[in-house]
This record gives sequence, C-alpha cells and structure tokens, in this order.
Amino acid sequence: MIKTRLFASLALCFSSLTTLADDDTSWLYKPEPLALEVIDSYLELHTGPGRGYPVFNVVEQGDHIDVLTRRPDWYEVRTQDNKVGWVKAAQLGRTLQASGEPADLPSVGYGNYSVNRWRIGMSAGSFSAEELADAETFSASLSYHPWSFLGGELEAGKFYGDEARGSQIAFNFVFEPFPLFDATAGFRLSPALIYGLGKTDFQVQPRQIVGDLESADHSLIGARLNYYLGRNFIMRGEYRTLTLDTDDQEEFDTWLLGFTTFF
Amino acid sequence: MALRLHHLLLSLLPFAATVEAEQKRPDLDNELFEFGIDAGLLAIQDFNTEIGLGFNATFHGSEDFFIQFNYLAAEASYSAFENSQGAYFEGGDRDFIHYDLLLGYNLLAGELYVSEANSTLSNLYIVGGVGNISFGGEESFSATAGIGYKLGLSRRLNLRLDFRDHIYQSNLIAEDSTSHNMQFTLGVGYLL
Repeated sequence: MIKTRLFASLALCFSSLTTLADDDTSWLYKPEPLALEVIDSYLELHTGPGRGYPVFNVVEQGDHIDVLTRRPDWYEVRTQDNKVGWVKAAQLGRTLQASGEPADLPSVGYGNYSVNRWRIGMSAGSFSAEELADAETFSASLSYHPWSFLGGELEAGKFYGDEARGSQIAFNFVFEPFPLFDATAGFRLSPALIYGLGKTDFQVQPRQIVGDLESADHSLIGARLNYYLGRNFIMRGEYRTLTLDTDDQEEFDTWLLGFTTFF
Repeated sequence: MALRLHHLLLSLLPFAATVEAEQKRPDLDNELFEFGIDAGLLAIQDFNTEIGLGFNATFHGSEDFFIQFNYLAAEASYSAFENSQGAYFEGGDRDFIHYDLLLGYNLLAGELYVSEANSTLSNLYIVGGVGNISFGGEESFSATAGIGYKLGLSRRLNLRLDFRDHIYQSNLIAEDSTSHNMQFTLGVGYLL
C-alpha cells in the first residue's frame, strides 16, 4: 500500500514537471509560415519528400522562401513565384531568417536525442521463469523525457509461453545519465537504468495449465543499452528482472531487443 | 520512512513550477503521423478467405523508416470440413482478431503519371514485425512480413495496397503446426 502511494506521488511529481516543461501549443492554431532567405548558391526543390523524387526547380541565392510543412528529413516550401516543392532538411539549414540569423529549424539528428522529448518504441524478446520457460514477448512503449537524463515510459506488452500466456502493463522511470555518449567516433551508445511498476495478467489457454501462476502487480528493474542507428532511430537491448507481488515473489528474467524513435 | 519520503515528494511539487521551459522553436505544421483504415481479403489457414476490416496508425520516423500499429478483424465461416463434420468451435472464438507492431522501410519512392500533366507521388515499402492473433480460443504470438504500395490521392490522403503474411504456431487443427494467414487489403491513410 505504502509502495503504491509512494509510486503515485513520484508519478504525480513527474507529471507536474512534464506539463510545466511543455509550453508547445502549436496544435491550437494554424502556424504562420516561416520566411527564410537562401544563402547557398541554390536550393533544390524536389517534387516529393524523398531523395527518389526528382528536382523540378531551383531557388537562387538571395531569394526568399516560406516554409509550410515539415515531414521527416524534408520541408515543404513556397518560392516567391508561388512554386511549391520539397527541400532536404540539411540544405534548408543553411538559410537565413528575416532577422539575419541562421534558420533554427526543428531538425532531428544525433544531437537532438537528448532534446526531443517524445519517444515511441517497440521491442520483442524472451521472458522466462521456472514455470514459464522461454516465453516469447513483445511490447510497445510511449515515453516522455522532460530532461535528457530522466523520462517516464508507459509500456504495454504480451507474452506467450507453452504453459501460460498473458499481458502486462507498466509505468517505468528511465534514468539515462549519458544520453550523448560517444564511445569512439560514430559508435554512439547510451546506457540506461529502468524501474517500473505494473500489472501482469495470466490468461488461460486451451490445452494449457496455468498452475500456481496468478495475476498480480509487479515491479521491475532493468538495464538498457541504446545504440544510435542513424537520424532518429535507436536500437536497444535490454535485460530486466520482474518480481510478481504474490506470496512466492516469483521472479521473471526478460531479454528484449527493440527500436526507439524520437521526435 | 516511506511516508516521509512521500511527503517530501509532495512538498517538492510547487518548486516544479520554477523549472524553466526550453527555448521555443518556430511553429511549423508537422506531418509525422498517419491514420488509416483498410478492407480486403484475409485467407485464414484451414478455414476460408474472409472479408477483413482494419485500422492502423503510422509514425513516420524518417524519410526511410516508419513504425506502424495495425488491427485487423474477420469472422471465419464454416470450412468445407466443418460443414460435413461439425464446427471446431463456435461463437466469439470464430472471430479472427489480429494486431501487430511493424517496422517499415520505404524501398522505392517515385511518381506515377496518371496523365501527361498529372503526376502523383508513390512509394513501394516493405514491413516486418510481431503481433498477436486471437482465434479459436487461442492467443498466439505472430510474425508478420509484407509488401505494400502507397499512392498519393491528394496532399494528405494516401491510397494503400498491402499484401502481408501473418505466421503463428497453432494447436487448433494439429499439434504445433505453422499457420500462414494472407492479408490482401486496400486502404486509405490520412497524414496528420
């Protein structure tokens, strides 16, 4: 009971901080287009947001453009003569604002890993205990990181063993002390510790005996290693030990491999 | 002790207000999420090919990769064997319900010229991932692999054609047999 209350207050503290740290209200109104001046010798306009789409127009140095929309790695722009096309984010980075300052666009790259606060992840792996050997498992997670070193993660998953099957939900705290650790040039790793509380439900299957496994609350503690793949994709490996809150204090070992994307 | 810590945490709440927000970025319309519905054929192994209905949510992570959640449901009619020998199972167990989490890769981006002057954006993509199938009273771990083609109908609306195989181990008809379930659906997606 105390454990639950303590956890609730931790979660409350965390959520109040996250709401205050988030002042982005852009979803409330249609934003004004951002006007930029081209300083590169030219800017290439593609017909679509991808390198496979052909270049159909070029904007010259000194011309002005309006930025309309952002899609991953690409921006939709309108030229002075009302042509609309797509520009690669890296190229648009080398433009000037009306104030003469360099364009400050929400690009996504390695350096943004600690800044971009929302992450979506999925993972699959193996889940085992004495009664439940090598059960397959997968989960999806949504996390919010108000600071680079700490985040909260909501996770839902399923597991499939020969003896029993079921589902889990959990809220995890993710403590990531060195989010931009670069082991050697280009080999980017970031270790993280996770602690969470949740619920495990066992469901009876035809031709299966659930035995003495019963649905219960659980707590978990684990270590995660994030490996930066490129752009905004991260691969992660994880080990967890999960304890069911029953009389037996049943422990489960979980190995997971997954992907995270941040934005 | 735990109660004291609990009080300490609650007393920290007002201080949270002093945490300064980070610098604001320019306001831009982000198009990173896509929501869609689809309908088509689902061939359930050892049963019949049925009309399947589904919905999905996609997060476009980069130019190349996306993450997708899919839900697909169909109702299995009686197979030829069941018609003569009696049903394996009845009621809600005859609903084939599948959901999955897929990682997708945009393989071939291009344009389709509907006429000389009108071109529309297109993309051929591959997907793979894991999910859950509930059918015949079983809940099973499933693996999915597929290929799809996307065509821009308008600025934000996409037409999609998907062919996928949902594979799982089933004990319904024979002990521990691999079941392949082919999905062939047509859908629309809206970029948000």
